[in-house]
Order: sequence, then structure tokens, then C-alpha cells
Amino acid sequence: MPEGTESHQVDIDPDTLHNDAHGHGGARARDKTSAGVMEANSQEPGKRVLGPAFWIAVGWIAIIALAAIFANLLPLPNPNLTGAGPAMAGPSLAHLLGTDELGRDLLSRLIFGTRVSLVVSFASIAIGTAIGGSLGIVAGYVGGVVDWMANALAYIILAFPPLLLLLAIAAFSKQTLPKLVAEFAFLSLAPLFRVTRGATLAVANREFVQAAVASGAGRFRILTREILPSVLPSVISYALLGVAIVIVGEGSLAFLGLSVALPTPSWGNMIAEGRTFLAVDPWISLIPSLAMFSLLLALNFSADKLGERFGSREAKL
Amino acid sequence: MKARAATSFGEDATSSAPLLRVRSLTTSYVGERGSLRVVDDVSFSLEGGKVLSVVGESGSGKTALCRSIMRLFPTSKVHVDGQVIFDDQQLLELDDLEMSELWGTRIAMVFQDPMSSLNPVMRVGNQVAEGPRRRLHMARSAAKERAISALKSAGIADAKQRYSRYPHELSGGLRQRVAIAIAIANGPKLILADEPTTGLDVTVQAQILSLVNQLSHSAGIAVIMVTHDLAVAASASDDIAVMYAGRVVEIGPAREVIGHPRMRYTEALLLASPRLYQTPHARLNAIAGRPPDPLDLGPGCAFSPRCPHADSRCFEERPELTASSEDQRHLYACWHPASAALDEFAKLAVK
Amino acid sequence: MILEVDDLTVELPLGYRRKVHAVSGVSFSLRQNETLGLVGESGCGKSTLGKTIVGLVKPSRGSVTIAGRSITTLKGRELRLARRNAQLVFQDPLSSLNPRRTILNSLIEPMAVWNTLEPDQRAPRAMELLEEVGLDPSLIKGRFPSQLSGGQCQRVSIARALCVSPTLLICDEPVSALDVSIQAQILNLLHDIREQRKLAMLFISHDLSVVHNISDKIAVMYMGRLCETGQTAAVYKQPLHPYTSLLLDSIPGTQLDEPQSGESGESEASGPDPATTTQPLEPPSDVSSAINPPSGCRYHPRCPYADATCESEQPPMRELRSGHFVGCHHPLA
Repeated sequence: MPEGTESHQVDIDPDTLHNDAHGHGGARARDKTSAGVMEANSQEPGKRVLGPAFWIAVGWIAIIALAAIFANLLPLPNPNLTGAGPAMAGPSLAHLLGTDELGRDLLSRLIFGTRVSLVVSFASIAIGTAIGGSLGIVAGYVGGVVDWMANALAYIILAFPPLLLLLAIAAFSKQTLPKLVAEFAFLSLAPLFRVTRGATLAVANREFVQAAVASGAGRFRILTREILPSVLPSVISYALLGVAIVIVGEGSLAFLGLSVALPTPSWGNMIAEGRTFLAVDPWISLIPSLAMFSLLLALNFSADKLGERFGSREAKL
Repeated sequence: MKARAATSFGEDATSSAPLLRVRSLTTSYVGERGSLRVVDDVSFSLEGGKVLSVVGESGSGKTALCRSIMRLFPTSKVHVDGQVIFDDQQLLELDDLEMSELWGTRIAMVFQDPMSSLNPVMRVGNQVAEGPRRRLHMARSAAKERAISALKSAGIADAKQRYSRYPHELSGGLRQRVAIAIAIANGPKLILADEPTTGLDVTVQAQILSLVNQLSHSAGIAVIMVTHDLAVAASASDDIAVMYAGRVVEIGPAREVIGHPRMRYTEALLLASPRLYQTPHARLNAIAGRPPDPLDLGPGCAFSPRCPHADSRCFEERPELTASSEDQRHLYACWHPASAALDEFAKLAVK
Repeated sequence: MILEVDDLTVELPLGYRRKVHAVSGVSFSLRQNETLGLVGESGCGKSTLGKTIVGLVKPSRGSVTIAGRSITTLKGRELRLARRNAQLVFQDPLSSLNPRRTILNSLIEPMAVWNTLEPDQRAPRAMELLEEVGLDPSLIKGRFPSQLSGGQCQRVSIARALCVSPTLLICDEPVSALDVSIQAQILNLLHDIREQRKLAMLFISHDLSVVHNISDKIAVMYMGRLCETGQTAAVYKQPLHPYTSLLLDSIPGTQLDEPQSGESGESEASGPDPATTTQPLEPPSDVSSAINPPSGCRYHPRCPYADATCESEQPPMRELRSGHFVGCHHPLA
């Protein structure tokens, strides 16, 4: 046995000074997983990029959102102004996307119509995530009776047939934007609750959370500082998918004439209006359809990428 | 294949040529950061009925060596060079179909975690019988007979009752015995065991190790056992190969390697682990630093940055395996080999 | 006494009307600057015992007192204050650190929880702690856990445990996920820290060689109960419980590892030699055993000396030699 103290210095220092960032000196368990090779070559997971396609998708969503927000500032004719140009004209310099059967500017209607879709989808999901998400994180972490009750409530909400609920409400009273938001928020509560609760359960028993408990952190602190950051990415990813679903839902309602009342444009009612002229001029329906399609594609893709990125990072642990 | 089916586990235990010869085996993984040699110029041979332990830390390439012999790598990303001659067949030259015929019949594998290598929704007996049924085309009843005898050989006393259990109903030790039964059910000549006792309790570990030895000796099966634990290797193998950074740095009879290590890494590894003959609180001879980055190896000995005996030659020139003057079968790669015998450790080796 | 555990019993609910008897009637105590090694096989309740001591698991019965404060009766803020004295180091070095927080912030967090220092002094303190555990603070502080090796993560975990200046350190298998060469570094580090800070340390492990190296006293646990406690050297030299003897004999190559001159002929004959024995010594189904523990002595189904008394009566802990306790009707000496 060599002498104590100075050998101690030797024990430790070189490890310290070792400046590479690879994990392969570490947990033996990792060597035994499928690929000893992959492990040796794996990059730091934190450095993984989302890729240019993700940023293109996010950029597209941002462009659409910005256009909707600043629609009033854009050099566009009033979307409800009939006879802004000749009826059912093709694209021209004055009307970039042409006009509809009443001579209204299609680009203007499209951009103003975006407002309805985006406001309804983002607002309802934001509310749903705020309420359902917080309930989920609390229920998942606290457990016990709270969890049991919240879960029971979620089951009840999930049992509502969503379309029937929307139709019933629309049948009784005139749809307005706030009402639509509230309806979709209600419907999104249960799924978002369950996703957050699941993600929380997965994290709540992890050792770093236990370490925080053992170091004396209170429940609120653990929820907000240990669990929330780990749960958030997967919830956001899921919420983005929710936004896409609500956009389709609102579109379907509008198509049935059960969304915001005409003449306020929305993508759904634009498609519905163009339907009559499909044979003559498919353009009118096609434009809002394409807009919806591209937005959904961008939303789903970015949600997927986010989930993948953070999901794989979780898996590393 | 069919002719072999009827025979028991232990046919022709003795043969003149080594059962397995590995020559200059080099495995490179082509990754984003360049080509990476995970197994570097490894050669050894192994006879039937012998147990070779491959010892190393994580990232040393011991698991990759096993996979290279088994050809369990996706060929698109991994290049395996050299020769693996098993029973006069060049394994690296076989096509995938021929290779897959060897898997599970003449070469079998036992994994570390039986809970994940066993199918959770299938009765363990059926999992053992599946090999004889599929590979040896045995009838259902014959396969069942065979499975029960394999389970018995794996040390499961009441094999008939255990036959219809599910993996989760068995203890960890029994599960590993089932995994071993699956491996021996088709009468293989070579078993590769990747950390077969790592997750197990000490009392069970001792039993599994003795089972592996007993099977190997009585049935003439060659066993390559991968482990991180030199003590496990010492107590359960005929030969030991120590790997570091993809290379075999010392190989030889277990008693020689453990009792008279020449390579400084082997010596350091032995001295680093706590032993019962030491007094409590004895300061451990920790090895400084940590295993090297395989992409950033110098021209010299890979252990030199951590080695207290290293000089400039060690950093510049890589030592090749050379035979010990005392025992020609004992090879080591070190410029400044240790000379002192570690008598306490020699006693660890049972063979 | 830093830690006193008295008749601690933990029963974990398992679905409808079933429970796991994880810890049953365990008592021991631990002084300042003393390490108790707690050994046992997986599922014997040793980890649950550790978690109960820091208050992560609620006991069904019995008491835990840390530095004079009872963890088991206190509530709310008082409980948190008491908990602060006992810190835990986990087995898995990577998952015991918050993956989304830098190393520096992971260390600052406990200080922020306790409001121990002025906010601007916390980072310097964290750097000191990193140095104390043998890491280079300037290189490490901004990293995330996934960018460190297992040994480095374990050092950070130890530093985090020291953040609140505990008097008791509970290490739950702190080196079993590490490579042999790194293990020795961490064991040396733990020993130094214990000496310098005069901590009481509970070291939980299944590895008898590791426990032998680091502990002053050891306690052997089987299926939720302690079966033998005593000074490390005494227990290893002459185990009194058949189970301890089996454990020691099962260490790879152990029969030859230690000169066994001190052992009596009786004990020599006792330990079933695992190298030659073929009879299964494992319990028939250890999965359910902690749910329906055997009557009497819990070890009796595996014990070569078991008789009718062992089946019906639970053996009390008896002090056969000074400081060496055993819970067995037929001790080996």
C-alpha cells in the first residue's frame, strides 16, 4: 500500500484535467447496452441540432402568424369589400391571388381568415395547456386522492363526443370567437392533462428529483425547478400537435357553417364558399386548403422534431 | 444440421486444432468523427472445453470483440478485418445465410441481462425449446424433452415445473440459468457470454460461474466470457485476455496473468480493487485519469498517460505482444513490464 | 450519536391488500466519523432503508433520529430542517443530476433552497466544493451532466450532497456503476471526505470487498431484517450468521483470498462451497418472498442448519462477542 496523501493527489488530478467531453469513461452499464461502438462515437446529446428543415417549418409558422397579426397594416383591401376587383378573376398584380365570386380579394380574405384559425387554435391550446398541464403536473407529482380525482374528471371529459358537443352548442347559440376558444380549450383539457401527468410520472421518481427532495426543497420548488423543465419539451411538442388538430376542427366547423358567422372570413368558410364553384374555379377553395395544409405540415413536423430531439435526450439517461 | 440434432451436448470434447482461431481481428466503426478502431489487431486461439475471459473497462472493446466474432454488426457501418476461424470455417467469409445457420446452433450467446434477452410473454420452457424446434427441426415433443434436459444441465432442479413459468416469475439467477439453457439447447461448440453475472447477487454469481465452467469442461464447449471484473475472470477461467483501448494488452493462463501480471495496466487494475486481505480503510491504488478517447490515441502505448512507469518511449512507440520468458503462453505488451509476483492474487485463480 | 434507527419497519403497499415487507424491525446507530457498511443482496431492503432515513419513504413503524431530531415524527419545516443533516449519494451518477441544469447550478440549487449564503457567494462556494471533490471547477462548472463521465458525475453528486454541510452521508451503491479504475478513486475520495468533515456515513452496497474497504462497522441485511452487525474486521474474520458466511464465500475466489487461519473448523465446514455445490441455494421464488416473508427466521428456507425453531421463532439479535451481534438460533461460533 503506497503512502496516503500525496498519492491521493495523483489519484484525482489527471481525471480532472482531462478535457474531453465524452461519457465513455463512465457508467459501466452503457458499455453493455447494444453498441459499445456507438457509445464510443456518440456526440454529446446536448449538441444535437434540430436541422434546417425544422427552422424552415418554424419560419413558415412565424410568417403566417405575423401576417395574421399585422393584417391591418398590410396594403390589402378590406376582405369583406365586394367588388374590390372583377368577380372570379385569376391572379393579377392588383389581386395577387385573384378574387372570389363577389369580387373580394382572396389574398386579403386568406390573411384575415388566418386570424380565426390561429386565434382559435393557439388560444384554446394555450388555455388547455395552462389548465390541463398544471393539473397534470400536480396530479402526477402529488398523486393520491388529487391524482385520482383529476384522472376521473379527465375520463369524463374524454367521454364527450367532441363533434356532437360543438354541434349542440352551435345549435343553441350563435358562435363567437371567445366561445369557440372556450369550447376547444375544454376539449383539449383532458388529453393535455394526461400527457403532462404521464411525463411527470416518468420524471418524478428519477434520482435527481429524489435528490432535491432529500436536500430539503419544498414541493413547489421541485415542481417548478426540477420537474417542469423536464416535462415542458414533451408537453410543448404535444401542444403543437393539438394546435394542428384544432385548426382542422375549426375548419370543419366553419365548413359546416358552425364557426364564426359570415362574412368574417375563415379558412373553413372560404373552402365552403368555393365549393359551389369547384367545377368552374377550383382556385377559390384550393388556396385556403393549401394554406391550411402547409401550416399543418409545418406544425406537425416541428412538433415531431421537438419530440424527437428531447425524447432522444431523455433516452440517453 | 439434422444429424447433429440427436446427439447430446457433449460430443467430441477433444480435438487437435484449436476450435477458434482469431487472427489480427480489427473492427472499425465509421462514424461522423472519422473511423474508429474499436477492436485493434486482436489474435488468440481457444480450444474446446476451455474458458477465456476477456477483461476490460467500458469502452475497451471487449463487447465489440464478441460482436465481431459473432458478426453481429451492421456491415454498412462497421468493417471487420482479419480472420476468425471457427471449426475450420472462415467466419468472416461466410454469407449472411450461412452465418445465421451457425447462430444458435454451433455458436450461442448469453447476454448480461436475462430480463431483456428473454421474451417476457413466452413460457421459459418454450423459449428453450424454440431453438431445437426451429434450428434442428425437432418435433414438438422431442424439443420439449431436449429443453427439459437443457434446463437440467443449466442447474434448474425441478425443470418440469419451471418449464411453464414466465420470466418474471423466476429469480434473477434462475433467469440467467434459463438463458444459459437456451444457449446450450442446440449443443453449441462455442458460447460467448457478455457479462453473464454482472447484475446478479454474489451468491448467485458464484453458482453461475461454476455452472459455466462445469458445462464447458463436461461438454467440451469453448466459452468466451466478457467481464469487467478481474476477480470473476480469475475464479472462473482457464485463460485471461486483458483489453485496453481496443487492443489485447496481456493474455495468458489465468494464474499467470493474475499472479504475475507483466503489463502495467493489468497490475494497476489488480491493485485498484479492494481485497479482503487488506485492512479496512487501506488506501486504494486508484488508477489516475480515465480510459482514453478512442479517437485521440497517441502513437505509443494507450495506457501511457495513466501509467506511473511510463517514459518517453511509452508515449512514442507502441509495444507489441511478446512472450514472457517464464511461460511462452503468457503474452504482454509493455515496455516496462512488472516483475514482482502478486502472490495474493495468484491464489485467486482456481485453475 | 448522529443517527439512531430504532425498530424501523417499512411496508410498501403493492396493489390491493398486498404489501412488500421491505424493512422489518431494524435498529442500529451511527457515530460521528464512523462508516457503517450495509450489505445485502438486491431486494433485501437496503436501499429502502437508506431512503427511509432521509425521509423519502415513510416508515410504518419505528423511528429515525438524525442529530437529535426525529425524522419520523416531525412535519413540515422542522422535518425539512432535520433532513438537511442527512444527504444522499445515488447509484446512477448520471440520472441523479438534473439533465437540464449546468453543474454549477446543480450545486447552487441546494444552497438557494436553504438560503445558506448570500446569493453572490454561492457560486464561489460551489467552486470550492468542486475542488474538494477533485474536479477542476473552471472546466466543469458550465457543463451539463451528459457531458461528463460517470466518475465525474459521481464527484459532482458528492459535492452537491456536501452543499448543505450535512452530518450524515448516505451512499447508495455509489461505485457500482463505475469502472474498476474509477471505483478506487471515488472510494478514496469518500473516505477522505468523511475524515475531513467528521461525517457519519452509511455506505450501502452489495459488493462485500468494497464495503470491507470503507466501513468501520458492517450490518448484513437479509429480506428486510438485519442478521448480523459488528466491527468490519471481526465480521469478515469470523462471521456468525450462516448467511454472512455464504456471502463471504461467494466473493469470487474468496476461499483463497484471505488466510483463513483464524477460522474454526466448524465454520470452515459450514459455508457451503459455491464452487462445488449444485443444489440451488436461492429461494424458490425470490420475487414474492418479500411479500410473503417466511415465518420465523427469514433465512431458514435457504439455511443448511435450519430446524423447527428456526421455522417458528424469529431469532432476536444477540451480542455474542463484544459489539458483534447476530440474529440466529444456531450461530456459527
